[in-house]
Amino acid sequence: MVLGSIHIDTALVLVVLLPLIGAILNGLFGRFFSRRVVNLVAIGSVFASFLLTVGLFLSLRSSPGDGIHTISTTLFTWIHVGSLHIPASFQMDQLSAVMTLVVTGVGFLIHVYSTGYMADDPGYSRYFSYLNLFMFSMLVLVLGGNLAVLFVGWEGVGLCSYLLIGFWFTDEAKAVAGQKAFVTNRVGDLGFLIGMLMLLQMTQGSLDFDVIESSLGLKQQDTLNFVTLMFFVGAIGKSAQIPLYIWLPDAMAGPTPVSALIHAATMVTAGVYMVARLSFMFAMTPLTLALIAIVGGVTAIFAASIALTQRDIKKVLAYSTVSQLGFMFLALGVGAFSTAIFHLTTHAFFKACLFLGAGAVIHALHGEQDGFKMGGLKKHLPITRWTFLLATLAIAGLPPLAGFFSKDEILWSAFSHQHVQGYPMIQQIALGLGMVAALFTAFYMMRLYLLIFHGSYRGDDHHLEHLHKPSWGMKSALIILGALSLCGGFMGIPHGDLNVFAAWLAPMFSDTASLFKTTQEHSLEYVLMAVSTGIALIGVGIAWVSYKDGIGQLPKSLASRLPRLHGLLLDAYKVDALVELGIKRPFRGFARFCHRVLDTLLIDGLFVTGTARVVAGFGAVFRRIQTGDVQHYALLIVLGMTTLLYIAFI
Amino acid sequence: MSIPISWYLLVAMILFGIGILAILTRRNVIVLFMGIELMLNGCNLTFLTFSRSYGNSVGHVSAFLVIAIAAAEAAIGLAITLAVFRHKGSVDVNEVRSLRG
Repeated sequence: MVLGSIHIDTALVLVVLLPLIGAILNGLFGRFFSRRVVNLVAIGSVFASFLLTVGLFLSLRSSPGDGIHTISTTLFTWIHVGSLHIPASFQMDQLSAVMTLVVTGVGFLIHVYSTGYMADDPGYSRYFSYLNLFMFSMLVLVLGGNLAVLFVGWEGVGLCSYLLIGFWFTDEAKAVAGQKAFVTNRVGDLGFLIGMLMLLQMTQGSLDFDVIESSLGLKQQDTLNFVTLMFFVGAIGKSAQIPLYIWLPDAMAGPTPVSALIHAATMVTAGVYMVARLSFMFAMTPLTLALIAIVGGVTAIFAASIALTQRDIKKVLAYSTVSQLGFMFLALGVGAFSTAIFHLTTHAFFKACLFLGAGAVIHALHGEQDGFKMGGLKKHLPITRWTFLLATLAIAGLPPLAGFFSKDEILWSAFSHQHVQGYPMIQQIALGLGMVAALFTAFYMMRLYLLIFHGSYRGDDHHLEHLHKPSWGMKSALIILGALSLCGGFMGIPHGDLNVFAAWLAPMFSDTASLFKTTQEHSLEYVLMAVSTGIALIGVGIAWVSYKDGIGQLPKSLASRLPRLHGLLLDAYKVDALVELGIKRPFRGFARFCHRVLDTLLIDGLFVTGTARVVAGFGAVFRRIQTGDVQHYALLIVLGMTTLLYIAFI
Repeated sequence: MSIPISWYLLVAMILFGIGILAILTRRNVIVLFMGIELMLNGCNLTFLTFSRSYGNSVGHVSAFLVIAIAAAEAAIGLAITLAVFRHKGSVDVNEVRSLRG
């Protein structure tokens, strides 16, 4: 097959490598380039990557047959030791094609947006170099032909996340936030690594997905449970689920486009992608699936409840992301793998749009992030306002916007799928959690929109007078993402031939589909739709009543009547303090113990200084023999000789 | 009639013993040298005794060698003694103990 004049394997490799080339060029020579050249390198490489992806997607689509279509290519043999054989290979199938389109597409828009947002930053070329490096890592992650290559991307995106959160590293709080993200991610990565090594033992030296799939059948259930659990731990870390979500709200220290790209649209969804990629394995372990559903549901409602009271607009969006990721895991947990990917896609659209909108607001107000100091911006930033409104309604789940279809399908799957084997109540619990989380979501998103754009301005007048208007690059990214939030959901209209998204992914999950049959009448889905639309309307309505003219009476009186609950939500359930007390402090204590006892006392004291002391002590004793008196020495020689002769002859 | 070999050896031993005693007890460096000479000559006497009694000339050769080396040793030793005397104003061995540990 030939794609234009480029061979299809070359195209696949280029998709991955172009951003890397961009990163290297800008990273090494960026400071000698003018901004125009930096833009050309950074955006050009990602745009070329996007175009090639579209080409590959079209060629996948035109492949004959119903099964899994795969384009794969091997660059070189990476590891070959004994029976262990790991090639550096890339593959694109239906699942990774969707992911690659989202990553390169949204990534391209955010690159364009960044040219406006970062225009005055002295680290301009460094920023784009990191951003391109992230694109490369993410593409390695989604296109990796085996788990080891996927893991390289997995670690790479973690590194880029660290670099970009701490992009303004002269501010210590931001540097610390970067470290927090990195360290928390490492906890999850350990799980991933353990799972991968155990798989290596099962497959006797291969990490290719099809080899893993074919060698699972004979294995013991306990081992398999453990392996999937370990992979889920990895997903928890990367995708910010309870209890490892704590890094994501702090990750908002990075530039806002970074929050949009890495901490909303792409990197944090890597865990979802990984579970979907290994769905054949997770489907065999109902225990892990049940756990995933519960963790996802609890995370969804937990994070959403924190978002209800936050003042920092980026914090609201951060907790909203955690919550939406919870929805995706809920879907994975009830076996609705393609629905999870659908929500991942629509979420990438509307959440990127929201973050970029928030970024435009922050940019306009010279870095102000407190929602309580905004208001009435709708006449100043009309394009931002309309796109933000669209995305808000989309995430709230109002028809016919993107979020409605995907969220509704998740709830429907939780409601209708055959029970996860042996865990009958899981789905009902998950459904309940999801419903309440959806109500919260509608409320806090509408609240956020109203706080920013409606009512009267409550902040510093000086900022309003010198308002930064968004550049054309920022506007165009917002408009495209707003449009996608509006109509992205039509890919997945439930039932029949209209659901092109599910049909496209169906071959990927055909093996597992039989395990998760729908047990309810399809007509019930319309009832569920009506209910969830009603829930969304209630949430939006309460927010409208409370915040349409600034901060209204209802929230004020609630906050004063329930001060403890309000404080608890405002402090995000004091989890950071809890982590400080329960994890960081013991660890610091342990580190101090290692430093003072093991290092200073044992190694320095006993082993190093101690050895020297012993030698010095012996010296102090034996130096007394060396009197310097010749006659002493002579006497000793005589005595010694006499003794020797005595021993020798008598 | 010849003198028994043990008498020669006895004299040699007495010479050697006097030498050792001189070295261990006297303080004057010059006297220590004299003690060393006595010990060397005690040894020489032993060599010659055995050489004569076995009719072998190797002992004679050894004795000459010892005499030659003793002469060299005395020259160096006296030079060192002179240097020490110039430095310390004394040839008492108890004064010279700068190698004490």
